[in-house]
Amino acid sequence: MSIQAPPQPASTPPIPQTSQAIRLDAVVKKYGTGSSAVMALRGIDLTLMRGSFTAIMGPSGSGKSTFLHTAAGLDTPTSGSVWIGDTDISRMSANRLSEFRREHVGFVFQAYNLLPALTIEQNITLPLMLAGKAVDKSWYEHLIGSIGLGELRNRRPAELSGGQQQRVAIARALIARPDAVFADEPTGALDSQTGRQVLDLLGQMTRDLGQTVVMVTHDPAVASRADRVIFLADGAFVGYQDAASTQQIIDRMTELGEW
Amino acid sequence: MNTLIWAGIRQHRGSLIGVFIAIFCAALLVTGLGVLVESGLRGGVTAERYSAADVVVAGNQELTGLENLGVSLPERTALPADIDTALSEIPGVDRIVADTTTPLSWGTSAVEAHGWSAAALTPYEISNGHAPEAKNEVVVDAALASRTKVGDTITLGNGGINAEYTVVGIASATGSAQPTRAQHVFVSDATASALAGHAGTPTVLGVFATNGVSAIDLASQIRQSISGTSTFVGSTRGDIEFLDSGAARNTLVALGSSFAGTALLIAIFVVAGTLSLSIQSRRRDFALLRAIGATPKQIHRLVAKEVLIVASMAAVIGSIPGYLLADALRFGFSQGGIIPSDFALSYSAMPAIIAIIVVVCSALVAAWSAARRPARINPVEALHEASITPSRMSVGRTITGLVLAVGGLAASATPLFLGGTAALAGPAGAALMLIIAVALLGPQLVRGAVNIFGGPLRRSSSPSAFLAATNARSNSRRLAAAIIPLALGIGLGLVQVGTPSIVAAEAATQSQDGVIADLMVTGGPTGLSAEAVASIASTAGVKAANPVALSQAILKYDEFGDPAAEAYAIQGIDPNALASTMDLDVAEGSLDQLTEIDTVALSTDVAQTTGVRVGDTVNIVLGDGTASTSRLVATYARGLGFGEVTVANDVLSAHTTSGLNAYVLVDAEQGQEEHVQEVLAASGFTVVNQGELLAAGDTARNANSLVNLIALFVILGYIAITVANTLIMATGERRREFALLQLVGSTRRQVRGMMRMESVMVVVIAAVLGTFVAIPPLIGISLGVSGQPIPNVSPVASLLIVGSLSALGLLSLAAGTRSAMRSAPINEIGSRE
Repeated sequence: MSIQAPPQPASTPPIPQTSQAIRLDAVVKKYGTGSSAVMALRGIDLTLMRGSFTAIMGPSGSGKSTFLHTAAGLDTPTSGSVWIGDTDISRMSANRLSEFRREHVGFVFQAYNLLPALTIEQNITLPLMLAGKAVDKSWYEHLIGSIGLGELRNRRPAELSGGQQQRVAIARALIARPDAVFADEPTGALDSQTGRQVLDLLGQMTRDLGQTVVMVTHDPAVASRADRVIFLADGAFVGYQDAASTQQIIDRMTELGEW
Repeated sequence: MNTLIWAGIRQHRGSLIGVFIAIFCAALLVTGLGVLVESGLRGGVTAERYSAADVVVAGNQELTGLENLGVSLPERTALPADIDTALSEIPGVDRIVADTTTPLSWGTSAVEAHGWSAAALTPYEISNGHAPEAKNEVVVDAALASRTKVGDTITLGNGGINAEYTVVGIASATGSAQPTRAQHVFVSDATASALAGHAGTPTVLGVFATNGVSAIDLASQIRQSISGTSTFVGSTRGDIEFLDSGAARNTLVALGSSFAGTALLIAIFVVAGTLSLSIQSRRRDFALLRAIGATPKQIHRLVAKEVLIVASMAAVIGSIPGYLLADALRFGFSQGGIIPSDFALSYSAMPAIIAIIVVVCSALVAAWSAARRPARINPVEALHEASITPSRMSVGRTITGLVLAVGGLAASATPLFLGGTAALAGPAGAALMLIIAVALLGPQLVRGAVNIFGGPLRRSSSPSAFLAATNARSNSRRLAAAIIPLALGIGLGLVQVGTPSIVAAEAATQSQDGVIADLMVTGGPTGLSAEAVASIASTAGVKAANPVALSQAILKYDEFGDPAAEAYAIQGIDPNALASTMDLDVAEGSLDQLTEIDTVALSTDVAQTTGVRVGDTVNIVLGDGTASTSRLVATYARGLGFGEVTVANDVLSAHTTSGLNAYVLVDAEQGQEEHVQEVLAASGFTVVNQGELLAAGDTARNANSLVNLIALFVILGYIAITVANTLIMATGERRREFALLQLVGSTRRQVRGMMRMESVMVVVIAAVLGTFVAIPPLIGISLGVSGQPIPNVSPVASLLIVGSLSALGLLSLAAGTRSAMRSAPINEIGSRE
């Protein structure tokens, strides 16, 4: 197989869309100080439009997780700025960030997404509860219908399968109509069949509901479900591919070295 | 938010039940002690003999004008001289009846003698025979009637001097309440005056109000018109009839509040410990909440509300059995003679309400401190964190711990630099400081201890030992959670039991060394009068007879510039007979100079505490409220064995209610000891020889140490419950670990073996830490009390404390392990968190 896309500059051209969901300007994240300092992100520029489904791929240690945490407002950049919607979140206090996150950012983690004490319905509406906001009933019904768990709304997470739990997590991530949903290896704990179903749901909801999803993964098969795959190596973007196949991604990764 | 809280409570009942139990017990304890304190303020003994009088008038039984409130005087105080005239001038006073009470011995029991006119104050009426008129006629109460009958002749002893009386009547109490606290006999008024000490001057007057005048109004009228009087109406009449009731009130307030303070301190520790365990086990929940947008403030609120719910329920439920505890404590204290056995507790909702508020507030403080960790969790870290707990400790905590540890050691050493009783406060506080220091530095201490202990275990070929040792090293914080409460219990127990034991041992030594007389004569059930002493002294073969009267005196002094007052045991001795009967080990001055009330001798400890030297003046208040500025003529070492204050015998006798001596020390002529003993015994005295002598304050000290023991039992019981609670909780959190171990091939026996190893480690480290906490204060106290660096502590009691708490630790850990392994391992591992 030949390499289809030529090496790209670090900044990627926007997918034509109407408005931006996420923008990173020259984001640098440094851990530690002095000679022991580690540059996790070396100046990331990125704009993601509303309704896009993007996968971030890279070998381990490439800065994937740091990128996700910084872009999602779980962590603040050392320099540069991060915009979610129309808000610069890079200079926010920790408290302000928490409040911002629960209204503008959704999360799907690899595992342990749900509070065992709460029912499915309560888990989904938890961000609104924390924000002290009323639940938009029709939006909630739409979401729980979309994930196909309307019947199980009063069950507890322990009674659900792993795939069902991840679907609940997706609904939870979308309940506040966030500007962006961040997913960290959302299928890492699932078998491939179930994983595919969850990814399909994620992709479909992005398209149908006009939601923006950023997913970090190291699995090419998972990354291939995204509209665009962006490659990260050594703290910087090294290229992207639109509508990539699994094999194309594997080849590209191999080219980037060990992964 | 409320959904989240209730769901959380439901989900985590397992770990919250531990918190519930801790708070339940705290509320129980604080309510129980609160009832004692309230009873000290409002409860009491109901009047029996004075129940017919509208107002009972006596001198001031409370020493006022002092910093510390309500020092009640142990002896009856004198009434103002012209009280009769003054009273009769007050409108509303119908009739005044004087009462004198003289303790008499009838065989081996004591009865109280009163003049017949005083029967008007009482519920007694003649039911058989007639009132006493002649000098040797007596009327006995119905309770005594079984021992005699009208027409019989009985022998009653007054201060060791016997006289014969003819029973001329039986008096029965009318009404439903029968006097039970004392047995009474009535004699003619003239005889009563002759029997009573202090020339028969009455110390209590009963006043009857004219019709239509309320007792309360009359009482306040009397107090306002005649200074130096106190009045008693209704239920408070019992306080003046029974002086021990008033003393018991003060004891209850003092005991209850000091003891409640300790209990509350432990409660805060325990609740904070169980709460942080509970929160620790839900770390991931909090991390998730933080990630999806809960602010630290919301986490704090979440924990606070949850604790508020659990604590309120636990405190409300726990306060109910608190009343039972109060009753049990009342029983214990009355067995110990600290309060009268019929002292009625006052039950109101107040102690429960206060306990609930205090305990819930402490729980909220503990919740706030426990929530700081989950609130600070960085959501990123937490989501990726394995289940190992980081054992980072804040620098502030470490520094506080170290400062307290150094402070505790320094305070333990105060007796080295400061003499007297004041120095003893240092080591007592030191124990508390060291205990808190150990609690704060716990994880670090445990890590150190594990490194020492774990070395050989880690190299062991037994898989159980290896696992236990590696676990302990990697999770010292969890291990500390199990060790610290055990160590606290052991340390506290050792100090609580050790302190009175050191004091008692020193007192016994002092009185053994100090009594050099051949014989001791005691006065049977009442005491020995001056006449009895004279008759002993004039017995052939007696070289010297030293009468010893005992009471309490209050010393007023300046403590670090503030006025202070403290009650001490006082003895009245005959300085002329002292040399051959009692050796107080005089340090300075001479006891020969003890004559009038203006001379006094103090133990060296008390002299140091009050800051006086021989030649200085001492402000002393005797038991009946007589104040005097006396010159210090001598100091002596053996204060614990005999009494911290010594005055001349006739000085003290003049200011006690009965005027009687507790015992007489007799020095016999060479070779006449046995003969003298026989002669005295034949005249009706109780004589013991030197070997049977008891330390002067022994009864009081025994009572005191019994109270200490009761306190200790309750506190140790509380610690035991919470230790078991904490250990079971901490072990219960390890279900998955045990399941995993079994799935990778350990047998259940090996897991249990590992936990046994771990619990042995827990118990041994706790015993060592607890003992180390107790040693510095005990050495300090021992140095202060006896000058010996090695504390005289009962090894049996110490071993019992260490052993019982250790056994409890082992049992709880085993129970926790068993319950954590109840379900099949595959279910545990498979269960999603």
